[in-house]
Amino acid sequence: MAVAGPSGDPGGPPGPRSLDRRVLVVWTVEGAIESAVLVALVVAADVGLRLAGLDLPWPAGAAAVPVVVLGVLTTWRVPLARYRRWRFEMAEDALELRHGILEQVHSAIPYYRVQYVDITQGPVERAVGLAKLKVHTAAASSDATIPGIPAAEAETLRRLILARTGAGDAV
Amino acid sequence: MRSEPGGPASGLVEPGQVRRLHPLSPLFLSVRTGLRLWPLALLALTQRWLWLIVLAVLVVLAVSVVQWLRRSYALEAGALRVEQGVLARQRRVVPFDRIQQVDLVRRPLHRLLGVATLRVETAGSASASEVDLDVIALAEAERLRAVLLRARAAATGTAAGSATPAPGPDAAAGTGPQARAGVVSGAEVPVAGPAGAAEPPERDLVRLSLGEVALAGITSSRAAAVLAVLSPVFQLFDQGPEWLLDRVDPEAFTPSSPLVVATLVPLALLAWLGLAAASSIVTSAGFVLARSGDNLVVRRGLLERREAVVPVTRVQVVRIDESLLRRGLGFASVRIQSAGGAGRSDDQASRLAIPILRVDQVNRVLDELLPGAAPVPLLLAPPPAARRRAIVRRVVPALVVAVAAAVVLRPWGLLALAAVPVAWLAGEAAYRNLGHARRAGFLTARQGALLRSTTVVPVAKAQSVRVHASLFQRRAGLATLYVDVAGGSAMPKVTDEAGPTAEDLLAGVVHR
Repeated sequence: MAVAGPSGDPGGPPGPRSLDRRVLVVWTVEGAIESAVLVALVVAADVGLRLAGLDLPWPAGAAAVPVVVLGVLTTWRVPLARYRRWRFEMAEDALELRHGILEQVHSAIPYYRVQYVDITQGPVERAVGLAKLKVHTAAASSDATIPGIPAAEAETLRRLILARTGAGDAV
Repeated sequence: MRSEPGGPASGLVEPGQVRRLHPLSPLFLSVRTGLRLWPLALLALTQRWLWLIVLAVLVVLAVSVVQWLRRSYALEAGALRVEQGVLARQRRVVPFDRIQQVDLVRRPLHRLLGVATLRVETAGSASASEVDLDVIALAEAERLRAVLLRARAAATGTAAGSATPAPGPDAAAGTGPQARAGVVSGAEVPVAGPAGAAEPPERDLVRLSLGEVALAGITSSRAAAVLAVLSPVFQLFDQGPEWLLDRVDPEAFTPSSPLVVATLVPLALLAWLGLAAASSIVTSAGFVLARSGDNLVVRRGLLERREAVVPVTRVQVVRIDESLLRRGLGFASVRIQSAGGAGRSDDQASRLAIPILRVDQVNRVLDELLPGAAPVPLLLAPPPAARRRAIVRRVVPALVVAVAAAVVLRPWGLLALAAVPVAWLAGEAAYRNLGHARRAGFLTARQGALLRSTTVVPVAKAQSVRVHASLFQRRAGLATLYVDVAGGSAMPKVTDEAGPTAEDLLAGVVHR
């Protein structure tokens, strides 16, 4: 399985690798923001309906409680579980990803199928120096996004992937 | 910014030169955003909130300028690179040899200001182009297009001389995107061979009679919508006169009393079936699927004769659908999915579908569509654990809905519980239909309860593969394999196969 190719140094050791730990920060912050927005929306709806004269059968603000609980759970527990499951590997013929908590996914994208590559950085990712690498094939349903790799390494990884695409096949 | 070297651009690609788009880009971007904000503009106008309009214009302009400042493109070794985004930054790298098409778009405003939009497309189903440089100076756009096309030719030419045709058809599309409005993107194929010979002779593969077309309408899922009222059977049929259904609101026909039902239903049913047959005739009368050289040609339609052309080599998936009703009558329908750039894939798929086909013809046609794939092989049944999954998957939702109905609509709602055994039977049928086979470079997978679908995909056409295992599937040692193919809609999958088998299939696709 090990690739005795030209990828000596930069790709890191062959074999499955996990994401950068800092991705936990990204997921936690993003989850917290999403939950906060959701809570704000629910509270606004709750208060708004009351102001409009509707009689709701629960005390004011109680509607937000389940949302808060769910939000706390997802921002507190889910990132770590996701992180523990995530593995990616530049195998011999294909980029292989394994991830997912409830629904576990193993996806393989042969290099010669790669059409183009995106490297994206959201605000939180930029703050901690991580990036997301997305490989596109001719199929829209391909699952090929690696979140949480150091920005510089994303660039190297992208080069390695594109170097292996070869001639490609007609679709 | 406008200091284009303007040279003859004869050398290959000068790497590393990061360029911004034309300084007028923010203007174009603002106009586009502004057009999208028309409801706001209308409101502001009627309310005479001039300050709001001024503010909105300023904000949109400012945002556009910032976006323009953060947007750049560059040619690097072997690839085109585009960076953009203000809050979230994106860097996209498109290798030259993956470029399928380079279009210059010049709308009136573009012409007036001497600029153009350059669009770069790769293979794939995305509706938008992969790179959209909106806008750059016309001279720069033309230079860039020439460079990209030359770089692509160089990259693909040296690489095993793959059969990509010369950039001729692309270059001809210089005036705009109209060229892409053609039938299916593969229309450029016959460039190579028969330059002098006019048209290669056509050979009919399928020719449907008027009766068959009418039958296709009557046995379609849309026609069955009425039957579904009489019997709690879903998905008994497949595909039908969608254009008609979009115009008829079934709610309007919901009868009010049992007596009215008893008299109206047979009449309505008859009228409905007549309509279904008629609409099928309108869309598919004179259906012909023919082979012409390397292309498949489909012609259909009564009033408006439609023709779709697709190169045989671009067929990605063939799906054979057999509803219970059609199976009983000895018929099936066939969907052909091809990789095409132009048009929505749904649209394309419906144009290429064979609305109805005698079962004994299926293998013959399949062999023409995917040479070597026919006959449909004997399929391997999934492990027994899949039976439970198939049943649970259908019974649980039915149970939830039935119990809810029984509780809410007390006396009559109890009837809903009858749906549970039906769901059980459907699960049983679904399990019996499950199966897959890997043979001679093709993966065949079958599934479905009342509508049985058999999908045939050439392994060489797989773009990527995935094995999914939900919590429940893992407990039963099962997994589902998905094969991602170009073109979108019909995604082949092997449902509820043993985990290791699914992983083997994945490895088989990767190392084909």
